[in-house]
Amino acid sequence: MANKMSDLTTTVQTPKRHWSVVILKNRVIGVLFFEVLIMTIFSIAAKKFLTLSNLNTIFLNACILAILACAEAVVIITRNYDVSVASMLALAAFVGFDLIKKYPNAGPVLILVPIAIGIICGLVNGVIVAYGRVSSVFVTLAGLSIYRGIVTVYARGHQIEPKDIAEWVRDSVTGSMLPGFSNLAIIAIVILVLVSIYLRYTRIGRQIYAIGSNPDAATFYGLKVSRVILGAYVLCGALTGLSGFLFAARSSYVVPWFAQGLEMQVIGAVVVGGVSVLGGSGNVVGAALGAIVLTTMDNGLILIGTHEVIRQLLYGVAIVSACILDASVLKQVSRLLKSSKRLGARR
Amino acid sequence: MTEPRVQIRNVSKSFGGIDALKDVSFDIKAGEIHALVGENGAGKSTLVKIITGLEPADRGSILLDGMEIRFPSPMEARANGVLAVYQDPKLFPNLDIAENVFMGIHPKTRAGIIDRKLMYRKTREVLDWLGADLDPKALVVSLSTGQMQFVEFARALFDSNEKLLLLDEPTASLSPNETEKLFEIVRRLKDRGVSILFISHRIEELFGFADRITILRDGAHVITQEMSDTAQSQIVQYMVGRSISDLYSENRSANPEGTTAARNKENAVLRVEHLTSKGEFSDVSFEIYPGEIVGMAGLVGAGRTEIAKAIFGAIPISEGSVWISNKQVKIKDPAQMIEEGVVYVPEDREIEGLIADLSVSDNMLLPSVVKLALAGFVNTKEEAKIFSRYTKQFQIKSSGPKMKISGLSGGNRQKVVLSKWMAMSPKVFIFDEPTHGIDAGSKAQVHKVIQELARQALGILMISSDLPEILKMSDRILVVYDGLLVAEFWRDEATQENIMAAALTGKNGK
Repeated sequence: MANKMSDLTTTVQTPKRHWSVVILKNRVIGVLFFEVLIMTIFSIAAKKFLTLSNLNTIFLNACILAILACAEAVVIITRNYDVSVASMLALAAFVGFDLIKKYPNAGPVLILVPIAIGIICGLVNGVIVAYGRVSSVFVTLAGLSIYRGIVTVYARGHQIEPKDIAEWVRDSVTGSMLPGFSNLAIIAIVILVLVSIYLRYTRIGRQIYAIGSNPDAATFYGLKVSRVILGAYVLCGALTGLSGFLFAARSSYVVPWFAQGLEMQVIGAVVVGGVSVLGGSGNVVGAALGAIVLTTMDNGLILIGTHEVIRQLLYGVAIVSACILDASVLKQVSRLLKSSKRLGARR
Repeated sequence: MTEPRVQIRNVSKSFGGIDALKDVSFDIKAGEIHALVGENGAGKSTLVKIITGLEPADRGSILLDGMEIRFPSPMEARANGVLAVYQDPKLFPNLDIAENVFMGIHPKTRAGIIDRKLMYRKTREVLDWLGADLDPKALVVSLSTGQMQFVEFARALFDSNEKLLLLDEPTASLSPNETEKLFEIVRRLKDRGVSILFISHRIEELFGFADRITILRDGAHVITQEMSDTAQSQIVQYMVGRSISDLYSENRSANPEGTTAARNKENAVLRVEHLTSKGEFSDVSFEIYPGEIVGMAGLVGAGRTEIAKAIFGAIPISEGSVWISNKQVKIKDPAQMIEEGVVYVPEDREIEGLIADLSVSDNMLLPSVVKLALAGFVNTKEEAKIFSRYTKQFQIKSSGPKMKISGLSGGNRQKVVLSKWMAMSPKVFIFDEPTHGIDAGSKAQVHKVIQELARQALGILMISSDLPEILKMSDRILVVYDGLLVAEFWRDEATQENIMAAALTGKNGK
């Protein structure tokens, strides 16, 4: 029998790697390659591009988008979407800064207000998606209108101006705790590292991937699917609320239509960053890199003198290309799955 | 006498008024391989779901080592040593093997984060124990179904506290090698004292493997007895609740059209000459005559499906020609081949399937709607004509085309199925694994439909990996090996042995 066993061993072994599987495992490297490519093109096309101050600008501009992309990625990995992020952000920023204006002496504790608002919005989205079993696109599309509506009603025609903003708020973003790094960059990097660790080294983090990879199997494993999806939305909401605070502090003006349309850039960054739109694969570092890619494109195209309309168009092309690449990888992968089934011979 | 490991006591479950399980009781001993068989819908999978906590039972109880168990989810079941492995591996394709093994129960370091090193090491150990040479870091998407089954096993076994292992048709998509290996693992577990509930459609494989057998029919318990006291015919009889003579021993009467006089190449309904598709198969030539069922045997992956698909226009041909009713056809695509009268029915297509909510007419015309359509619109006039033609020809008793199919008797439904395929006005039918994974009763129905189609003077090519099926159904048998047609047997000279020899070695075993 021992002899027989060793004969059989040869039949169950890891097959050769296919290119699509390699890409699936190493998406981030592809994004990095693309970033280097466009940076090379821009530094040839525009003299001012490859200067320290310009690169610093790109990096700072990318920070908030990177946090938002990181938040959105968590939801997309569960095979859901949140298209309400921009409205959520505006609501969190406006209410938060209104309270800062009204209670100038309350101090940094008020940073919790936008985060709490984000969490509440995330809870609403998450409960309806996870327990109501409603398509996440429709739920959060409704959220997009509703949250924007609430800001508009709340604002009653008012807006937040630089004079309304306390000194500690501006410091929190533009100041520098560590010499050479602005606080904004530090916050973004810390969040990225924390969320990365959370996704990679905690059970819930791994379940976020598992659910997006195969919701059906997740049920059979006994994972608490609804609860994990709700958690993903809440995390997304909290990070979005924080981004609202940072964004408002940086721009110094908050109006009811603040950040309108930003969700497209956020989802674009996630997709360009190699997170699969069908869930289960990709990571937040990729999403953040996606944010840097989009910001680099924006910056470079402005330096070259490209018209706003063309910039929008090229954005679109980048996002669609990423989706097509993603789709073709997935198609290859599912073809592999099928052919492996056929090879699993019967009788 | 010791108490049985598992006692299933009067378990009942219904879904929307339909009984899935009715008062089922039996028990499983420690260190026993207990086979559970029954037709599709007999309640086997429901029972597994109840035991693992995926579904609650309506009534009844389950005792594990004398204690009543009622798990809220499979996670708790596993914590108590009750584990299940399913037919279609339920895994996460984008994640690696180790993650799949440990999902939800990852080992943690003291700091409370996942200990990935330990996870990979433990996975390596359990894969070694299983004798599977798989890389714990390989993505599951890159594995074959058979390999995925081993990942499922790794998941079920790595913490070795298992008491009851539920195997829901684990061998359905395994190669003979992998099946043998799986049996070996199950035997080792048995020696460790684990109780195994083994569900299978392949009754043959249970002999000499299972200790006892329980048969379910329509959700009810029929019998539990020693495997050694059980005959195969008896099992099938208990499963279907009627004598099996019409299912297994019936042979087709010799086909009248297949006489040598009629076997002139010009009469062939399908003639394939030197057909080659680069990298798939080469120099394939054969004919099929009206009313003939030609079986195509061979190992999975030998190129049978590819030959069929090439004839159907779904994969390109590099050389050779195809003749339909003595007219050469230049193959363009499947749409054109359907026009020429070739119908290809892939493995996962339900041959006997009817949609209960649709009318008789809609069911009958489902596959041919597109063919009949005028400029994209459903051609109701032509559909009405076809309906009345087949209603007459097959004497279907219905209250009219709008009657729901669910109101028809079994025999009449069978005739609708037949009309459904005939309405495509076919000349050649190609069935690819027509009965893979279906139960004995449905299998017999499918066979009847295929035989009836042959009686309508169509040519039938039937690809099957099920040798008894090939022997029972075919007038003639072709064997494919590594992209070549290596043997041809008449029905009276074919045996399981010579077909298998040709399929395995590529040598004509006559």
